[in-house]
Amino acid sequence: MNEQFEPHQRPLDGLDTAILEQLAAIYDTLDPPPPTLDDTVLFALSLATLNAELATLLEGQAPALRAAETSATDSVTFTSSALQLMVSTAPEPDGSLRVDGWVTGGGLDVALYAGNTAHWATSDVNGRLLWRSIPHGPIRFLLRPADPEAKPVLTPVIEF
Amino acid sequence: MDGTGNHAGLETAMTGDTDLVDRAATLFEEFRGGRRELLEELVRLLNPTLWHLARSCRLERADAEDVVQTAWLRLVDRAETIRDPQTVLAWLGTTVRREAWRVARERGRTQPWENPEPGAADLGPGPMPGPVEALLRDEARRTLWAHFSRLTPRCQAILRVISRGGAPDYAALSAALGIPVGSIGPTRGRCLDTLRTYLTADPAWSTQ
Repeated sequence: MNEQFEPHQRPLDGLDTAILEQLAAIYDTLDPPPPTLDDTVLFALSLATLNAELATLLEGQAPALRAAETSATDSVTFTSSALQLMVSTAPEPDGSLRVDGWVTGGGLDVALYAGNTAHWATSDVNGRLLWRSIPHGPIRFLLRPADPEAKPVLTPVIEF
Repeated sequence: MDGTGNHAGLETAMTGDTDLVDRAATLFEEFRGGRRELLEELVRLLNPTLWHLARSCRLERADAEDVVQTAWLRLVDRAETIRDPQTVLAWLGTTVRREAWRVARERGRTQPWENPEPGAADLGPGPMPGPVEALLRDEARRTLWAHFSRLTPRCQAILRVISRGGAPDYAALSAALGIPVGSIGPTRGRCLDTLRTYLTADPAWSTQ
């Protein structure tokens, strides 16, 4: 350590700049931000502006955790103050997922978010929903009640 | 607190870039003024810095991603409570650091959180996602990395964050790293000087 001058008063010279630039390049190689970081943040922000109610997993079911920590699940039920959504999956011939859902009410628009992509479906009179050819990975649902005054409902992320 | 303005000027000269804090402040102000679409530009502008901050708090990559996301959600939620748009990066940085502490506590990691000098013990390089030797093919970079790794965790954290294109100003760094603002400049200077001493003594290193 060189203490005989005030280091912070020495302007950065070419060598400092070169060191810092190389350091930035090293971190770009070793530990760059995930390529999906921006989109993940923007997606979360877009959901946040919906002012949605967060649904919870029915007690006793596998906890929904962040994608990296989840294990594959076949069937789960989410509850909110006004709505309940049960979903189960089955494999499609091509290895992707068929997702069947039952929601308390017909005519509800429900989005299945696979990553940052929304797949919308509308429940039939029996509350049935169906999505085909969904890729494996973290999934969450957004329920938009028919009543425009009612809050949308967002489920936690679950891995299928 | 002396010379903070000069330091910001130096950083700008260093990067040849408009100051990150100023650009963030402008975007944030216009976002609050109703141009909601500018939030995306703000996110893309600041995310690299926030990422490296989060990782400098010893967070795993997945946790760092969550913490950055949380900071943005808080910002949008509390946008109206931030009086000075110039502080938006400092605000985000502080939120990242606090969240990092919270996450680390939840993970039950044994961390000296009660350390009397915040920023000294809780900063450091997170675990690297891959073997350094394999990732750094360039000999000069491997040498730089080897010497950089000899620095204190605090030095590594500071240099990591300021090496990113457009350094945050000292107030932002101070808030985000939990280091008194008056210490940032001297610490950075000492860290860089120490690293230079190591490097110039090593014939394997060159800036070319």
